[in-house]
Amino acid sequence: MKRLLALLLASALALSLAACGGKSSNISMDNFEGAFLLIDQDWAFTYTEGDGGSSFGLSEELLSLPFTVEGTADKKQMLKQAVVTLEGTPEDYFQDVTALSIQQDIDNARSVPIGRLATDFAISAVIIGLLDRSDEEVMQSAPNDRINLVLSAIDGPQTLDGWTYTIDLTGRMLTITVEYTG
Amino acid sequence: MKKISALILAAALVFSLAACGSGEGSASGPDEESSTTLVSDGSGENTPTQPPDGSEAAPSQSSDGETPAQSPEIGGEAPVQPSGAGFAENPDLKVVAAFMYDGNIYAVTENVGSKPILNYSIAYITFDNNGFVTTTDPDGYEHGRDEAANIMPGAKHIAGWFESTGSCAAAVIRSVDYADGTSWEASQLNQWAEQTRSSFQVEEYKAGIAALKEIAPQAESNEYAVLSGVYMSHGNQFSTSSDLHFTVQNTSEQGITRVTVYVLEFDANGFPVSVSPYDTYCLNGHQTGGTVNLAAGQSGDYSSGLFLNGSTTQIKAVISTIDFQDGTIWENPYIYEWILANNSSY
Repeated sequence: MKRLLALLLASALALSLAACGGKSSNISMDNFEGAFLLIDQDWAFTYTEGDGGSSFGLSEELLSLPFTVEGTADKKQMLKQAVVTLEGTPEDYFQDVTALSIQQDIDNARSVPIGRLATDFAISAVIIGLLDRSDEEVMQSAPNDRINLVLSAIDGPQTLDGWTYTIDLTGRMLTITVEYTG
Repeated sequence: MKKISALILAAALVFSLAACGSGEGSASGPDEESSTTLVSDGSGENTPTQPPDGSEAAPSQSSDGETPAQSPEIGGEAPVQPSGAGFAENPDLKVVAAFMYDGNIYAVTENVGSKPILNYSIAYITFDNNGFVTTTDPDGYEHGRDEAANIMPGAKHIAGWFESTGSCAAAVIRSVDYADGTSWEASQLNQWAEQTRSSFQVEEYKAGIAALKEIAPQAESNEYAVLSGVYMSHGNQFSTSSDLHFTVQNTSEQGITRVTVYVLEFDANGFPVSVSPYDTYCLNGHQTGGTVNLAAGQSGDYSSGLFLNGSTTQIKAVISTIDFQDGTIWENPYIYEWILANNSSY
């Protein structure tokens, strides 16, 4: 009898999860958006509510270079996927970039070419945005091992903590795509 | 007998001294001068460069026997002038100011004549903070040439030369090539050098700086555009650097396409903040700006991200250049005086 009850409960749970369309990510929109406010505290995502959740967007200039963030969140305002673009990334950016070089660039911001610095900021914001910062700690730099793994996504998709990172650089247009794959 | 001989010798000595007395420059005749300078062949000339910065700055000393070295607008006390009869200053190109920073000498020149000037060279002498000469050239002065300076009548120009020692400088025009094909070369420069080396006073430098402060405010306004709303903010939390914000209003009668703003940075105590490697003309000064596209009467707000050093809490700024829609460019005629007078403290 108990076994039957357990089976019924388990199947009910499975059905409810299926009805919800899958497991939510661990990244809230506040968490994700907050990382981009590190670049400019005056920025703000615009949200459009839909049936299955919401879509969001940001279109600004990052050090005078065109910069966009677009994506979707579920009904619980948890991030599902996002696409970040930056126009002006140096074509050779990924040839020698490392977590250390990004930090050095940011520390010496005024002596770094704008395209390179803006790319450093964009990548840092994406990585920090996908860190579970439930302790609400203000984090201004991402862990080095995480940065290096994400940078390697230029050679092919990389998965970390249930998120799949894809990076494309065509000409000087950088596109970073992140998607929660569970 | 011995007494008479002594008297005769003494009289002869007095006579010979009297004969030399009025001829101060007689030991250095034209032959000597022509062997030391004048020909602008480029060899041994230093290369003009974009200047870094200038903590030590003062108007130069130069001479024509009567005219102060600084252009009359700068005012202030006239420096000591060489009195050699053979040396005469160029009537068209004046050294407005000469200053040292970080092993370089910079000279600001002004074309006060009516003919465009293509090339020129200066002679200069450097001194330490105690007023002692640091120039070791056997001629008594060093020289630098500025090719393709292309200075229009009424315009000012700045150029720098590497590898100079000392902390103060005196400079004078050594040669000029005019656009009409004629040239001018200084004669008896050794007289200028001798007099300048012997009469240089550090205190006069300080007086020169005080004089610059009187004229410098003229750099802060012009009839073509108004700079206002200059402030800084720290919006990017990744970086310690701050953003610069400013407003430009076009008060001219035609469109303005570009504006350049020169900014000096200071810390909370009013000390200069280094902006290396972008320092231009002084330790704490550099430029920003770009396309504004302002129609006549229009104004716009602009910002320069991460332009300011993280230690900077106070700034001074002036418009340095304006590009008009018709292709002409206005250059702030008092920018160098403003920089020299304002860079050392807030």
